[in-house]
Amino acid sequence: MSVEHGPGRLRNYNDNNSKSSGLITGAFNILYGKICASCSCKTTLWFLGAPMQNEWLYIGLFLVIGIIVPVVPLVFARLVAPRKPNPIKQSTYECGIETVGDSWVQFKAQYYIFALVFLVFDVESVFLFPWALTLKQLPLFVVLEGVLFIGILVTGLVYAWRKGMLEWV
Amino acid sequence: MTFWNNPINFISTWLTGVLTGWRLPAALSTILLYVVGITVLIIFAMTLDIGLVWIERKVVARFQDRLGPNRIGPFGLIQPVADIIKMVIKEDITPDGADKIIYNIAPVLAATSVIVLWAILPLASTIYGVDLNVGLLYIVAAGALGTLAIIMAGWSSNNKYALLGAFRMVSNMISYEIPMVIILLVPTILANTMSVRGITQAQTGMWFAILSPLALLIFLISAIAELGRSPFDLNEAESEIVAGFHIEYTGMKFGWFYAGELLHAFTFGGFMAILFFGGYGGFFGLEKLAFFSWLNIPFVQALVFIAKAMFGYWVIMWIKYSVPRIRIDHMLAFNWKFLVPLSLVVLVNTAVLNKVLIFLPSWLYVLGMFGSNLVIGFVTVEILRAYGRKQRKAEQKPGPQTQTQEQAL
Amino acid sequence: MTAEQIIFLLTGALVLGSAIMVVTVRNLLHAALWLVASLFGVAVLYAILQANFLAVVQVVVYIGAIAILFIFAVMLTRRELMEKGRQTRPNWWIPALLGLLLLTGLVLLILNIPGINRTAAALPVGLDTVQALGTALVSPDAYVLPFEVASVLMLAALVGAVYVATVDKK
Repeated sequence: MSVEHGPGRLRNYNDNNSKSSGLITGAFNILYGKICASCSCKTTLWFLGAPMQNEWLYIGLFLVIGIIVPVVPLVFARLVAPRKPNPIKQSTYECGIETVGDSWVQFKAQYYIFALVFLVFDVESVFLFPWALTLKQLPLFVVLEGVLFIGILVTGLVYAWRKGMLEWV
Repeated sequence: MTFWNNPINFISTWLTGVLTGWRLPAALSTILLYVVGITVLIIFAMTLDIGLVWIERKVVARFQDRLGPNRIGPFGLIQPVADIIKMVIKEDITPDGADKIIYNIAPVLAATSVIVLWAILPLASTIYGVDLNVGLLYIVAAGALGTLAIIMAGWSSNNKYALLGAFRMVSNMISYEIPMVIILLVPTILANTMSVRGITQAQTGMWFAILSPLALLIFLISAIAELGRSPFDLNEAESEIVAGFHIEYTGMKFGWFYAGELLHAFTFGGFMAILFFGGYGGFFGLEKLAFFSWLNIPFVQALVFIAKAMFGYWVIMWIKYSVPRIRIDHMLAFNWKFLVPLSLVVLVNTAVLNKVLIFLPSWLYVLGMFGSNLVIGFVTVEILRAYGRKQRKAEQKPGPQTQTQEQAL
Repeated sequence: MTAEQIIFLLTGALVLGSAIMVVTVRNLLHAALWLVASLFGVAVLYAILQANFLAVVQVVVYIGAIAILFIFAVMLTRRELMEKGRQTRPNWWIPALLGLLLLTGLVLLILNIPGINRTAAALPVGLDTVQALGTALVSPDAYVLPFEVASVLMLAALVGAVYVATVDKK
């Protein structure tokens, strides 16, 4: 059973219907119902009923297992692979010749400038997401508010462009 | 709810019954169920990854007019397994002077940043991890973890080329994140939701690729740059700085960088399918007819989704093996001077037109949105042509040197 | 002790522990990476509070942009990435004592706020927090003016960065 999401409808955040068609959250609903029927499990209800969203629990577990899964072959490789370190093998690679100078490179300032411009535009785009979600419900002037926001930042981009900040010299 | 209608929920209900029958506390059984579900999903993703290695090698071979692996197993199908065995048993060489902890964390983080994307990827209307209501930004967040992994890899290797490769790659990735985030706003506006499932379900009438083809194009380009694949792979340019940020990695650690990149490409193909081609559904309302009601079965939907994701992956591979590499300054200029303004124009156009045209009948709406994209594309091409003409004229104009030569003569 | 409290305490320990490591570790790049761990802990705190949008924005902006900017800045300016010399000042116990007094004062103050032991009210069912945030940001009787002023603020930041970078090049 899936819930139809038409373009005009507010998406139900906590809707029980949409939850029961999810992967495991459906199980949660059924569990909740089962436990609720027997009234000697007040503590378990309280434990389950803690307002921690099951979505984030799932994502947290996904992250943990997502860290474990790449580690397993690496550990296995450490057990299975040969280990014969010698200084030549471990020396730094520089196209097959001896290294010249340190392994520190003069970091160009241009990288930092691109990161700065990126930061400003990243924060701008993040601001635009809540704005984008209101366009269907609210009248046209809301769109124009967003256009004004974007316009002010485009002025910034044009300024940086004219000042030559976007060159890679 | 039968098995065929809703397989995952059926199995989870049954398992819950079994676990509660064994008198496990309810919270523990929930967590156990989650862990089982997550492990199955991740193993599916990893198996797909292995298949992708074979597909990639066969496709690149055909593009280059050769056969590709065909010795091991029929059509070389066992080749990826041989590759994995080889990578696991290779010696793990840590260069001296490397920062051991960060050196070891980097490949794991690179692989993890791709795996966590599968938590929100809907394979069918009832087969998905979570339906997060900020799904699109979650995709960008996972990309941020990948960027961090690359800096860690490049810096901890104690190697000039790795550092250079890492700097370039990170500059590339963060620059191309801006058009991608701005274009992610276009499906958000059209579907009025940020959740990935909601966007898929909003495309039952019309694909967003038809409503906004320019957004699809810009997303494709930014996705290829985010992945660090050719033509934007100056960072791993094999002919220039050897292997870039993962020079000093051997064995399975390198394997995770490589496999992670392939899985990332496929996942982005999947997101392209979801955001623009209707994901697991999107049959233009065909599935509502009684004759086509089998299109609603979750397994069929999952197959449709994987087919569309494969198509996206195929396009990404096609571009990789046909187009030469772009220089770093051209890459960044292309992004900041062309893609960012263009994506902002597309966003403003979508926002305004979506509001204005919503009252018209649907075919006029679709025509209006598509037409406006064509107009923007045409105007852009004209501006570029005029700019190109001006540049060519400036080059052909006689410079001051020729005049002094004439005076000398 | 509910599960939520345990998770909150663990996350708090992560945030504070990483913050302490940021200021005590000698290798600057390690300090930047401990900062990333601390910021990630703050994102987890937002997730516990069901502020989905803020949690992902924290990762996207802080970890994906600001931490990377820190790392670039560290690499740009420092030839040696290690701090040498003493970590502590000669009379370190005076600031430590003052810090402890401040902490005690703050804790006593917070514990005396009425209603500190109340649990948070549950969000109304069917509330989409991001949409509510968006409506608040654009309605004329809510926060539309700060929304537009924020863009002017970012323009100022961009102009300032361009200016500083131009002066540096000369």
